[in-house]
Amino acid sequence: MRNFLPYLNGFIKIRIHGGQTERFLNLCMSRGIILWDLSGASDGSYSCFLSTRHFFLLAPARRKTKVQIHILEKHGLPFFFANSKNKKAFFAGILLCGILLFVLSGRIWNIHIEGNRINTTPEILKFLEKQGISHGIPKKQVNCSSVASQIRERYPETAWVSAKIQGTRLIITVKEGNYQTIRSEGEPVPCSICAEGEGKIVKMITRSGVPLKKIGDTCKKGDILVLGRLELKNDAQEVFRYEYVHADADIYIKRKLPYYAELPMEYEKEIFFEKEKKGGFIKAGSLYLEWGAKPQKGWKRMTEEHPLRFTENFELPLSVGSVTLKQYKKKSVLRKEDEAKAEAFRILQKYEKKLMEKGVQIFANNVKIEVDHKNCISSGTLEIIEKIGKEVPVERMELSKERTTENG
Amino acid sequence: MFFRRKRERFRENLVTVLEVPRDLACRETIVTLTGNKHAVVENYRNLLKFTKEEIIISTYSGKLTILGQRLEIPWYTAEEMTITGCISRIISDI
Repeated sequence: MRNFLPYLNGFIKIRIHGGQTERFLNLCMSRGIILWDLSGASDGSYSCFLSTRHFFLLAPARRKTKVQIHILEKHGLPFFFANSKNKKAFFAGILLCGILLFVLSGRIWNIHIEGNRINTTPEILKFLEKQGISHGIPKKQVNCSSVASQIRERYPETAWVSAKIQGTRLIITVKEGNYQTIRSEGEPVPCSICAEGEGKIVKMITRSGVPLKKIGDTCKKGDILVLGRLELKNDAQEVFRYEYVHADADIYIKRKLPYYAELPMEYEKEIFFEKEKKGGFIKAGSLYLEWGAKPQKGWKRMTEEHPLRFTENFELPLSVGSVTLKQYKKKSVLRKEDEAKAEAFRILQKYEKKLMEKGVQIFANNVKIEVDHKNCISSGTLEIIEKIGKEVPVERMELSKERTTENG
Repeated sequence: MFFRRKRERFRENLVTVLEVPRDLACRETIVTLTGNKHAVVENYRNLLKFTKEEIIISTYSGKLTILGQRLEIPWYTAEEMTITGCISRIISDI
């Protein structure tokens, strides 16, 4: 603060010499003129700093003591503005910068999405863009609750969404989970659940409807597992009415999934040489400028593109990249037995992982990997547990006409 | 002379009894020396001489001479004066 205030009001460095210098200093002190950084020189003169306001109060003391005062340096904002009278463009630039900052700070420049796993960020951004929420949109036009509800409607697997504006950022937090979709309002359509595949039922939770199969039963494709028709019986155990419901159940079956994969023992391997050529490119919209490496036969081309981003998700239509050409040669290679088995096992694991991503559990693996002179063959079955159940319309039944006293 | 001594003794006794700080009651000079680079002089009257090697300050009870090298006064007001530099001696002449 002590340094800032003098800078704001302006201060000067003066040299005092001749006359009664000590008396001059005492007079300054008694008149409330503050001098700082007072230092003496070998020629008997002094140099010190004082504010511009106090400088104009020096005249009576100077006259009395007959000292000579020279201004050595001028510091502070008043002198800066006085010196910058001819630098109009510089001040116009500062003003323009301030205006730009003010105008641009009223817009959204970064849309940050977090917590999403199933729905990717570019996908959500694309959806938001369709809804008119894009980078550069004025903050006033963004309704956070509306944005959140739009995302919830579009992606039903999201449990909750929150949207908030922080500075020039729109932060969207998504929570995904096992969220049960709310069925459309109104009367649920009556239906039964039938099997889509063949297998043994290992788990069955029925929420509505009549289960026709139980755990341990084997079902075939098309078998009705849960019936959406309830029979209401009277005291004589006769059906007097049918009630139709929307059958709802989680049914898991265990079944065998055949697996067969062939891996040739001989294959073409690309052997790269140390020789490589490098180049680069600039892409601006539809314009493309490349230099350096030209595509040639026998050279593999690898491109690395870096889109220029203004913020985290705000990509500019400008990208730079590097191109690397590597010389290679194709060579026929014969796999060793161990290598082939390891590769076949890796392919099998990849297939299992893919199944697990779909929600399938792998109960047992009965795949054998054998090598003959040409191929490495993986064959066998995988025992899997998967969820089945397909909604089908329920068959309507009509009650037989009641016997009355009239018809006997 | 007698009355002056009497008055001084009375003041001394009064200051002791009332436990008033001596610098406030008798306007005595306080010199605070930090190492040999920094000194603060309080309750002084005016500056008599100021060179790089010597600063003579007039106080209410006499003269205070500060000797050293590269002496500077970074800040001073009517009550307080800060002296920096390489201070070698402080002489009080009463």
